[in-house]
Amino acid sequence: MFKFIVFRLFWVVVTVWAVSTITFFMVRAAPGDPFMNEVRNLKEEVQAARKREYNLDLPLIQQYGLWLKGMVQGDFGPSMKSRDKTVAQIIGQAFPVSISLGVIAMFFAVMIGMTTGVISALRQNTFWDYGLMGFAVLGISIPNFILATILIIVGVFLLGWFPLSGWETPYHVLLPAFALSLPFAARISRLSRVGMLEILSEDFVRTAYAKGLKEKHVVIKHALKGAILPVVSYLGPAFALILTGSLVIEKIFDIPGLGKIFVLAAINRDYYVVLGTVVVFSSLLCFFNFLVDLSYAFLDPRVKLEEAA
Amino acid sequence: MYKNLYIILAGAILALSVFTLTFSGSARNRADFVFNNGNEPQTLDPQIMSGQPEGAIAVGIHEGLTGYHPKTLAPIPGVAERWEIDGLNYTFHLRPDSYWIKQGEIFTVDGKKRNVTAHDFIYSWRRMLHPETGSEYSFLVYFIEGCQQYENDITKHFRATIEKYDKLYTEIEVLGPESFGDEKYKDAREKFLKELNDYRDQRWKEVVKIEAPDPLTLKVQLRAITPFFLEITSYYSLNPSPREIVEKYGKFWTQKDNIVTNGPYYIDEWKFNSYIRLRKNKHYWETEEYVKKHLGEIRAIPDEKRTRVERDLFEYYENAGAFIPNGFETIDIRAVEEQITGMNLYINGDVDRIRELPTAILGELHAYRQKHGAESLPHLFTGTYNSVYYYSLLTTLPVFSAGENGELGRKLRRALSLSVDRKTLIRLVTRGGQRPAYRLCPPGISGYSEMPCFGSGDYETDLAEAKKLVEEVRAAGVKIPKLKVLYNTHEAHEKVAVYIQSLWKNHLGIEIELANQEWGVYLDSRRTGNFEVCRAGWIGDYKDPNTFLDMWVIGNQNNDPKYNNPQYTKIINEYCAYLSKYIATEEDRNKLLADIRNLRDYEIGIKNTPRPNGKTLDASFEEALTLYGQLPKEEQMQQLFKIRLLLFEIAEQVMLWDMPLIPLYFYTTTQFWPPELEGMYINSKDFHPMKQMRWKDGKRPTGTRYHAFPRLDN
Repeated sequence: MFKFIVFRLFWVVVTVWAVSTITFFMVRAAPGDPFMNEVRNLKEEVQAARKREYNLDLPLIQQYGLWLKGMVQGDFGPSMKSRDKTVAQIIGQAFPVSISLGVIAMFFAVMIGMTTGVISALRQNTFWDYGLMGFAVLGISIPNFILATILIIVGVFLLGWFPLSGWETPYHVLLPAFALSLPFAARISRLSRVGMLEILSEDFVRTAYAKGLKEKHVVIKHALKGAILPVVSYLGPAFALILTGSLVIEKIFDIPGLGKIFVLAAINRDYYVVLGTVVVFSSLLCFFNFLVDLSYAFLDPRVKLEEAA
Repeated sequence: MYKNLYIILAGAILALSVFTLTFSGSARNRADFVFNNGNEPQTLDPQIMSGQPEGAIAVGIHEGLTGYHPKTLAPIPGVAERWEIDGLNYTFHLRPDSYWIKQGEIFTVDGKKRNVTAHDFIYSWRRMLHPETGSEYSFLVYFIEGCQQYENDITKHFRATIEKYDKLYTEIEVLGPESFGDEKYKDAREKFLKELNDYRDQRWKEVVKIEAPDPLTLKVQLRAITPFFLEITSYYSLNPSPREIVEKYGKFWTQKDNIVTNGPYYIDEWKFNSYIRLRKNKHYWETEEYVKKHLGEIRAIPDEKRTRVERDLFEYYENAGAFIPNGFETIDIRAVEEQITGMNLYINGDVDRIRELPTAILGELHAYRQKHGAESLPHLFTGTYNSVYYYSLLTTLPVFSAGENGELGRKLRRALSLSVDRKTLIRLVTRGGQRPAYRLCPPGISGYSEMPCFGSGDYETDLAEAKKLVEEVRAAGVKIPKLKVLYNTHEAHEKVAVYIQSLWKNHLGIEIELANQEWGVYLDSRRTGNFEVCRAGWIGDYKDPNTFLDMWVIGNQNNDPKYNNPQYTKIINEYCAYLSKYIATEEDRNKLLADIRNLRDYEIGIKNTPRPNGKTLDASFEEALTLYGQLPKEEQMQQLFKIRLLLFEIAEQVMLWDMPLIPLYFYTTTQFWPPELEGMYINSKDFHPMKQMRWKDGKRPTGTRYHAFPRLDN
């Protein structure tokens, strides 16, 4: 077990390093630099002074070395566009927001998805099943900015129950998290339905019923555990998609999250901000995949972690 | 199994509590006034900032020598309570009670209240000229004698000193981030900085004509007659920065906890990418008492004897009263980028002003208003903007410089420009009520011609002319290759490009390829001349033709089309900039007139150009020069301004005869704000001093605003 964890964590670090290194050289290969301006081009000397200030006058490989050295010491470097801020400050403000939005959305997705999935499996080929799965197909196929627009029209303008945008009270998070979660809820719903159907036809479930247990007990105590497995393996990639896919929702609801920062930084060639967000995103994704692998061991006794290691 | 479920649940609850920490606890009180600024400002450092979102905040938190009248943008007293102008010499008298403010309280140094002094302005303006500051707007202080010279000298010295120290300390950059904080190189760094500063102090004393005889008097000598100089002292780049704070915190001085400002508002909260909350500076000088006294003073002057500043001030104080106590207590500045979200917020009553509307409904709004009248949409305000949308043509491209002296290339460029049907472009493509541009300088510059520089006023005639020109080019054996039109990726720019593509292809038979590039790449292409035809826009920094015409001179870093006309450069850089020198004597004036009449394109481009006064440009110019010689000395100054503007008209005519760029339209701005908002006007810079804004009868309208918006398809 311990060996497995160390081994996987090592690979998390290697993956993040590889991703950020590729990003480092890719953003630098793009034409332009952070000191271009639409309004008045800076004078040559001023540009030179700026480049020097941020080490951009050194050979690329040396810059990479300096950046990596800073990274290892936990220094993300300065922002070149928002000159009075460091990357750590910028990410520090936006990251908790993005994570919160992602976690709440994930929570909604699992709750809604699991409930509907299990219900349709238990009531297979009934009105409930067809109705819920119909919704699931809709949920998968409707892009979330359309969902968000519908939610705003209904929740804000017609009913007046929710605030429109911003990030101040827990109320503010409900609509965006819901809009963000629905497509994932739909997928989870389908996955858990399939998982549940498979489990329900297994011998041990039949045995449980034969022993005279009530349906509630059979489902919750025996079947659910197996049905959850396909969902769990989806959680890792789902969380990744939620985090990286929240940009549109962030824009529509004006939420000060990482997505907006990431895109703006890329457009402005704010190198260290781009790198900082990439590092944060990639470490997060790797870490979540690691957690998913780990959770298998708890949920499915057939998986032996030592063997995997 | 359930144990694990509990672990998961516990994790979820933990995550929930983390997320509640990101909130401010409870909903904040709504500010008295909320507006959407569209973007997060890049910096609030007056000398470094540039761009619209920064400027919108600057008018609230910083204050220069002069401020803006909200309607006309005419200069009104700011930190300077009055000033005297004597030709090139300006003397500003600063008010003693304008204080630096840190987090709402007066900033003190050694226990003494720190007021804004003339030395603060000198420090800040000088700072603009230093290469390590990186000000985009340093050219604004070039109008002061010696500043440009100072900048040139210290820039050269800066480079030389860096090279010297790089040689001395090969293992490290003395002025680079590597050496910061490294004790080993502390001495070297100090030596380096001393060498820089000694030279700078010396040059400043020698060449620059700015002085402060006492802390509340600032004397400035200009290098040439600059009629718009007080507009420049209002501009945000010339606002003062507090020396102690800048030196203490370096580039981090503008962070919320460090920043010290002198404007009517100060920064109370700053949530990156979300909002900035401004709070009223209760130590601001504009009190009821002050206004009463000032109004009384102006009342004592008979109406016809009041200066423009006095008239502006009177009207403004009569309308708005004193900032303390009438001004808004709190202002929220939001950074909502998505225009639709911004509009939703406005309609929902969460935001009180948006200055950019979604292009999708812009056309509908304008059409609706045209049909039902202005009162049908009381929240909609439109006006022209001191800016122009144009296409740059790279003049060094072989086909654009074909023929003897590039004559065939010029014909082709002119044909491209004449063949664009600007009226239809605006009616069907841009749909924002823009105004067609047949010259580069936007309308609204007082005393400057607004008549077209090219084109007959009738599109069919222009098109026929364009076809003829292209025929001539082709007949001379020039093969016109496929031209590439570059624009930054944006739906609106693409639509314009597609329309122009169709015109050039159908009417002139020129193949056009459209190329869109992402913003950073596009800027790089523009800067390095890696384009053939390129979309661009320009917003004037002040109301004078100079801000639109001076960038096309040889060597200017913004001369994207690489326009290379020594005669044009001479008119702008010499005649317009140092006019008094060239019209001092009768002989000088005759020489100037002869020079203008000897211009390469004089016969066709200038001689017969009509002006609004019914005479030709040539006749107007000659007349103005003659009149100048006849006027008594004290009236010559006004006449000099007129001659200067005529020279700019001539220059613009010369430039647009060559057509290194194609002006397409003058921007308009379309905004929403409630009709109950007073002290808010559309103006040509889109600058809105916050201290003058009031709600009608002091009551902010609450609730949603659906009722104010009819169905647009009716």
